[in-house]
Amino acid sequence: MSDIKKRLDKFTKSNEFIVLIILAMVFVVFSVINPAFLSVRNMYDLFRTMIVTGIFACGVMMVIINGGIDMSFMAIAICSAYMTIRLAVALSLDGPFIVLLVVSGIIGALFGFCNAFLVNKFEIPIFIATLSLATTIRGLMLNFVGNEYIPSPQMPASTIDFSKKYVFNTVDASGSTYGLHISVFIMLGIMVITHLILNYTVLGRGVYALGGDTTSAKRVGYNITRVRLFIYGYAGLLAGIGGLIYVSNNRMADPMSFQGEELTVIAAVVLGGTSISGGKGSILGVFLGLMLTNVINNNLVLINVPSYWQKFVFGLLIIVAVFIQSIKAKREIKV
Amino acid sequence: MGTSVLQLKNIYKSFTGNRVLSDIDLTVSAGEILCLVGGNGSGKSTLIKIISGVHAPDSGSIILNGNVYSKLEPTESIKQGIQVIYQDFSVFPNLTVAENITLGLQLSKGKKFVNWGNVRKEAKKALEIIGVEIDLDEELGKLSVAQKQIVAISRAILQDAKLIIMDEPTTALTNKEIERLVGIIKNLSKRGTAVIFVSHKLDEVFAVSQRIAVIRGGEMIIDEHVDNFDKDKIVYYMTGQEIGVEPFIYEPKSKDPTMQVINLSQKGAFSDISFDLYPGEILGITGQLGSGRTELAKALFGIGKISGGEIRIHGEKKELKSIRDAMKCKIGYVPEDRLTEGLFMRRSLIDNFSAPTIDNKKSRLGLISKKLMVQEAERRVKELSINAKSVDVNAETFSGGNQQRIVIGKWLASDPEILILNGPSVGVDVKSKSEIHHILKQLAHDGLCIILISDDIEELMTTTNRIMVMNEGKMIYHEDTSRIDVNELNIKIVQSGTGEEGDNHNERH
Amino acid sequence: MNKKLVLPKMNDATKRLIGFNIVIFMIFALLEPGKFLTAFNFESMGFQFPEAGLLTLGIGITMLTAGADLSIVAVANLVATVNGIILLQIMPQGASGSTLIMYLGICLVVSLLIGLLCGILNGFLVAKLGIFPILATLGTQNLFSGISMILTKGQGVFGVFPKELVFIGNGKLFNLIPMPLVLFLSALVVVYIIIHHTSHGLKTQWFGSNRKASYYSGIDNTKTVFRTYMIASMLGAITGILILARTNSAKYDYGTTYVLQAMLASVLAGISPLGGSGKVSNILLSVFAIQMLDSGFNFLRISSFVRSSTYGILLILSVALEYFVHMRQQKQQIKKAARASADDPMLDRKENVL
Repeated sequence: MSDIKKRLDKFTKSNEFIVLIILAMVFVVFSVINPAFLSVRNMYDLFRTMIVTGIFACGVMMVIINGGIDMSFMAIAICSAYMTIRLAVALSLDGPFIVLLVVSGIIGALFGFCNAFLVNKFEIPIFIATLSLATTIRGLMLNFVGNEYIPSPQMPASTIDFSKKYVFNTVDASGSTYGLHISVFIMLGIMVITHLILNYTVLGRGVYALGGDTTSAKRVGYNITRVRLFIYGYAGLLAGIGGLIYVSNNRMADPMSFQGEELTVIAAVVLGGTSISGGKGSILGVFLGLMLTNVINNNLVLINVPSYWQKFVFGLLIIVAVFIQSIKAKREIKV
Repeated sequence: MGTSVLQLKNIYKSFTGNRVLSDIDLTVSAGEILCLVGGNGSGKSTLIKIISGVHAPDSGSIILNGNVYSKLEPTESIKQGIQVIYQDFSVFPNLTVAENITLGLQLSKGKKFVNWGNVRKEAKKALEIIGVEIDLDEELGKLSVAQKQIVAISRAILQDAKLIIMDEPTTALTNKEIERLVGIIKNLSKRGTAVIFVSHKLDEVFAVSQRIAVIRGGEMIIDEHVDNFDKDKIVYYMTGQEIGVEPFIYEPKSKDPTMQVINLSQKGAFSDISFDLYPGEILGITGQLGSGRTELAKALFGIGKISGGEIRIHGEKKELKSIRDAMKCKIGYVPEDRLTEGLFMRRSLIDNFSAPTIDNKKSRLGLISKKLMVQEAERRVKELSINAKSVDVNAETFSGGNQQRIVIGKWLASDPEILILNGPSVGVDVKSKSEIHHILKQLAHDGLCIILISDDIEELMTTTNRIMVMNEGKMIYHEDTSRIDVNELNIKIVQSGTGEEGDNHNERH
Repeated sequence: MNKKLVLPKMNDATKRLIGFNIVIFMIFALLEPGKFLTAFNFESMGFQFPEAGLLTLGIGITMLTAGADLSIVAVANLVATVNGIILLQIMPQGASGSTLIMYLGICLVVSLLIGLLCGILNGFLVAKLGIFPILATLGTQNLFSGISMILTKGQGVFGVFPKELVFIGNGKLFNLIPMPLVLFLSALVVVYIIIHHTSHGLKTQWFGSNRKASYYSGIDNTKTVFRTYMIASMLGAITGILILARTNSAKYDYGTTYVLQAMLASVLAGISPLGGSGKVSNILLSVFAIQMLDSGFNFLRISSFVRSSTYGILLILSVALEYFVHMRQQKQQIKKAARASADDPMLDRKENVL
């Protein structure tokens, strides 16, 4: 019994708990102002917005735990996805969707290895290394593609099929159908798998160890190069998968996607308790942080806040959240 | 006599021309507790690194469990059961106790998956062997230094260590914790694990070792069973016979004290400290880590909160709430860690020398006069005999002794009346050390008040005119140097305090 | 040698950048002399790069303190927006003479005030509360852009502005030098003097080099960082005026790619994101080099691939080069340092991540 109590106690002191409280408060406030907020349809919608960024966030979290910030995942995502689609179209492949996912993931992983190489060999700060890779990739894209997007009629059939797969289909009062898209389950699945890897494999623990103290990790026997290859490769893999799901659900592949949105995902991950200085982070926190930022970003309309207030509120949210976290951190030092 | 776990034969080591170890022979048998005693610059750290494989000896052989090596890789050393517990313990602050203890084991066994049940079982087993209870789920960063050390030792045991080398293990422990550590080490010995215990705290040395080896100047001076020693003998071997080091003679300059410390207290660090300081004096303060001496020094420099008592400068009460306040009272502080606290390694001497006094170096337009900065740097380089051909060179290019002089120089530039130095000759070669002592004595003769915090008995005896010993926050001894007997001093330093479990000795000092 | 202003010393980054610039110049001069070597070309470059240059200057100085001000473009857009509103909606139509001057004066004061306030907020979050710069300025970036959005209901401002203002963005001083360039060079000189010749500037560099040693030298680190973010925001404000003057419009999301480009340009200029090193004057060289590359590629009709990956590749090359140079330096110094006592404690310094 005391073991459970201990765990509960530990949780209430964590950053994840703070986010949970803030999230709960936001839910309460929003649903009071507009009960439609809590409708099933809206919740399905909320999850839908979290799909792609949720997948990315798992990889981003790993890199941050390792002590750096990944600025390349979105470039990798769209590039891998686009290349996969182009390849599929060019080769007239009409294979199952899963094949496309795998291909995109592999391309993403390869890009991820490039990141690992830059960090391992040249000891470039992660932020700079990933940023340079991202700009190079986007340049690559511009060369091969320009800004021509692949429109829906040209997308492989399997992607279109995938985009139509919903579960829990319900018909509402006005006769329109809504449901939960199955890619939500892919996101949840990836989150669970990432959680398992990080907490139940020695390699996963190595991510935390490296983030805690690199020298000690080396002394205790970890192969730093290999762990880094894993971290960045995995992040790239997830980026590729997320990117492909994105272009499928949108039924088009636009090479100019995702410009400048990296920091939003990073903010969500950090809000959820992953510390920028490394060594700490949990999937639960990522999930909560992402939910919080998405709720704010997408539901202001429901409570009659004009869309042009959105950025301001989002900025305020970040500032308040990091403010609270910094106060909490300061108080911990005193203890 | 059990089987020998470690044997060193004729080990020599030099670092670019400097001979660091000469003809070292050493044998450690299974279950033996050897204490390696040596001061700064004695070569003991290099010796440990050679045993663990971090450095390769120039010549000589290392024999582990009967296997002969002329060059040893760290992984091989670990395989042969050599575990070193460094002063920073190499632990992960963000992971739990259980994980810290078992991580190395899982890696060496090539495990892929983590079975948390097993992890807890193994961790519990290791702790039981040690005989200490620590919450397995606690985050390591939240533990006290003593507890972190126990985790480090547990980890070593789990990896079937045949020889555990502990580098100055008691520096941050309270007396009760030291007692417990002694018990743990004796236990390890009974189980057949050999321990090399590096320390110069005489009480502990006698409490736990079976053999004592004294190293000085890179040479093994003596290596015998503990019963052949007494405290006087060890001190003698450690310090050797110093020829021609004049003690410091205090020439009174004024009958008014520059600084008066009256019943000064800081919650959790020190209490009721009182002393006067006159121009021309060099006051030595010593005591084990945890005694509060560094907090006291910092408090005199405006760092940390005073909870009681007062500080008077030239008779006037002063509140030193910030470093700037202290600087206004003409106090300077040479910190303990010159690399991270004292110097801008990648900046030039020009920058380093003028850092505290930069606001005084303005030219007419309010801009900084580089000329003044250069002049300052050149002046101090000359004054302190720093080996620098140009002042436009980065601080990191200098040796420890020269670097220390740079830090002293930057404070001299502020024209202080009181200079506090914390461990100024740590990691400094012998020649520079005596030169720094000479500088300090000269400064005192010129009228400065100097407070010298040091662990180095020899340094204290030859450079100060008064020595104060602190223990668990209290001043327990205060005497003119000329009236002190070295052995008595040593005893005062290592004696137990009031016997209370000190509160949170988490911070290093 | 008794000069009050010492000319910028040549360090490695400077030499490298001068080399880049010369090489780039020669390549394009040889390949397309007709288009590249014209006064028109250099003149139009002179109109284009100062915006990026000002922003690089602002972000660069925050990088000296191991941080980054991501909100600087948002500050610029906010200033541009507010000024736009003042001149288009508040100032009476067809105002001239002293009224016009008064309103222009109001604009100037308001711009500087906004810059100051934004800087104070950033400084407070980063210096006083100790929040990680990237996080704090991410929040303020959204905050400031948000205000621009709210003020214009997301629409932005555009219209016909007084010619005095337009001149700043499109005119030439003495009919020769593009005004934006004048603005940028003036700012560059001022910032250079601040960073390399004032006590605040030196403290900024020292903080970036080793904040602990700075603290132990009696330097008020909080003040140093605070002032740095204030200067950065002021530079953002000046850029805002320039943006409005040049484009005759203001929108909350203008120039979002500027931030990252400015960071890359700073790194190219030898400013380490970990803080401490870097010569401000190199920013001129790096920004100019990038601009020349851009123009040159344009003339050569080089595929957009090369153009867009320029940053990425240049950066990787630059950092890799610094790595090799640093490694060589370190080896030499290890040899020297080892000559000292072998027991010298080697301490880890935990470097701050952005």
